[in-house]
Amino acid sequence: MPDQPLDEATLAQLLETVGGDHAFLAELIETYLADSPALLDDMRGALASGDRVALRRAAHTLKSTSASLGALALAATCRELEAAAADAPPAELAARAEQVTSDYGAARAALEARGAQEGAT
Amino acid sequence: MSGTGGGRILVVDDTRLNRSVLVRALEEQGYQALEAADGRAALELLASADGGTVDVVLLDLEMPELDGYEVLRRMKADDALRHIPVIVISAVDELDSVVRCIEMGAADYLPKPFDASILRARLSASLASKRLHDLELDYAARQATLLETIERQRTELARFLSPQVAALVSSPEGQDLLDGHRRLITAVFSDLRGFTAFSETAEPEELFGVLREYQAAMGELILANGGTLEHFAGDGMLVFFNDPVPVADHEARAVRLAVAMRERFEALRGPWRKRGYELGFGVGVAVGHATLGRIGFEGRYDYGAIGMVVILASRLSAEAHDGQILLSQRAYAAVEDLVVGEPVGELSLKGFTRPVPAHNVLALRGDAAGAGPAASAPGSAAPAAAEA
Repeated sequence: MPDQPLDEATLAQLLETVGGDHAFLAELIETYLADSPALLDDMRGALASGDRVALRRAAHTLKSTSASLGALALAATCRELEAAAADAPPAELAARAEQVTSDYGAARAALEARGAQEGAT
Repeated sequence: MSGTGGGRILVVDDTRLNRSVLVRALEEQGYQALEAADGRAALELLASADGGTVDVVLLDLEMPELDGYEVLRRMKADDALRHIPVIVISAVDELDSVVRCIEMGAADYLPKPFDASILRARLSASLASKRLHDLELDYAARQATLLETIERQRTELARFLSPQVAALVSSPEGQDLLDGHRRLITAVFSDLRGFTAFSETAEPEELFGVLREYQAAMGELILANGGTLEHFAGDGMLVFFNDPVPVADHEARAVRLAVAMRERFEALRGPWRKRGYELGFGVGVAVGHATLGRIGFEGRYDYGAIGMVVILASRLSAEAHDGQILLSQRAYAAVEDLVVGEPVGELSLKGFTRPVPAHNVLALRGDAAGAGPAASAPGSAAPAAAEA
C-alpha cells in the first residue's frame, strides 16, 4: 500500500463526505492540481533562502491537502520534512525536499488520471 | 441527530481544497457555510453584522497572517464572541495542538481527513451548546422586556389613576379590595360656581385652559395631602381619604385639603377675573361608611366609592356659596379643635328626608391667629372684597 500513490479508502471517505458527488470530487482534484505547484515552489524557495518557518508551513500545507485526497505516501514525506524543518541540517532538508518532489510527481500523475476518471463518471 | 434546523458554520482554513470539502460537506448536512481564508478575515467576518449569526466556527490552526491559536485567543477574550463554539481542525498527528486549544477554550476538534459522520456528531454537540446559550440569552432578554413592560404599565397606570389605586392594582391584596369592601371614609366634593354659565359663553380653548389650570393646581394638592381622587368631572372632583390606603386622621386631612384648595383657588381667581371669568369655588365634606371597589363594566372600570357619604358631600358642595367649605355634622365633630367654624344652620338637601346641620370652615385654627386667611373672605363675604 505505501507503494500506491493514492489511498482508495481515503478517497471513498472523501466522496462520501461530499455527498457522493463524483463531479465535485473531480473539481477538488483539479483544485489540488492547480494549487499545489505553488506550494512546491514555496518549499524550494524557502529551502534556497534558508527560511525554516516558510519551509515548515509549505510542507504542512502540502501534507494536509495531499492527505485529504489520499496521497498518503506524499503526505508522509511532507510530514517528515515539516518535522525536520525547524532544526535539521540543510543537507537533510534538501534530501527530504527531493523526496517530496518525487512523491509529488507520482501523486500528481495518479490524481490527474483519477480526476479524469471521476469527471467522466 | 438530523441536521434539521441547520445552523451557520464559519469555515476558517487557508487551503482552498479543505474549505471546498468542508463547505460541501456542511451543505450536504443542511448547514449554511461561511468561509474565511485566514484568521484575519475570520475575525473581520465575526465582527461584521453577519458574524452575529454564526453558530459554530470550524478553525484550522496553521494559517499565514493570523493563525488559529490567535483567532481562538481573541474570540475567547471578546465578550461578543466568547460563546460561539470553536471546533479546531486537526490532523491526527497534531493532537498536541488540540490539547492546547481545548485549554484555550475550544469546544472540540475535527480530525483530518474529514469524515461526514464525525463532522455531524461534533457539530450537533457544539450547536446544542450554542442553542442552549442562545436560549439563555433570549430568556434573559425576555425577562428584561417583561419587567420593563410591567414597570411602564405601573408608571402609566399611576398617571391615569390615583397613585393609591395604581399601587393597589399591582399589590397582592389588590384583588380583594377591588372586589369591594366597606370602609369609613371622608369624602371631599368640590366644584366651581358659575362654571356652567362660563362654559356656555367661553371658547373651547378658554374653557379647557381654565380646566387645565384648575385641575393641575388641585391635583397637586390632592397628591400632596394623600387624598384618593375618585374622578374629575368637568369642574367637579371627588376625593376621599382612608381608602384604599388607611390613614389615621382622615377627617383632618380632608379638611386641610379643602382649605388648601380654597387658598389655591383664590390665587387662580385673580388672573381669571382679569380675563373676565367670574368663577367661584365651594366644597362639601362628609364622613361615613361607603362601599368601595371596582365600579363599571368590562372595558372600563373605575375605582369608586358608593354611599350616602358621597352624596352628602356632593349636596353640601352644591349648597356651598363661593368660598365656603361645608362640613357635615360628623365631619365637623371630628375636626372641631382644628378649625374655626361657623354654623350655617340646617340645610334641606335633595335626597335627605331630614334637614342636615352643617358648618362652614372659616380657617384652620393655627392660621386663624394670623390676619391673612381671614381676609381671603371665606364664607359669605363678597368675593370682590378680596380683590379690591
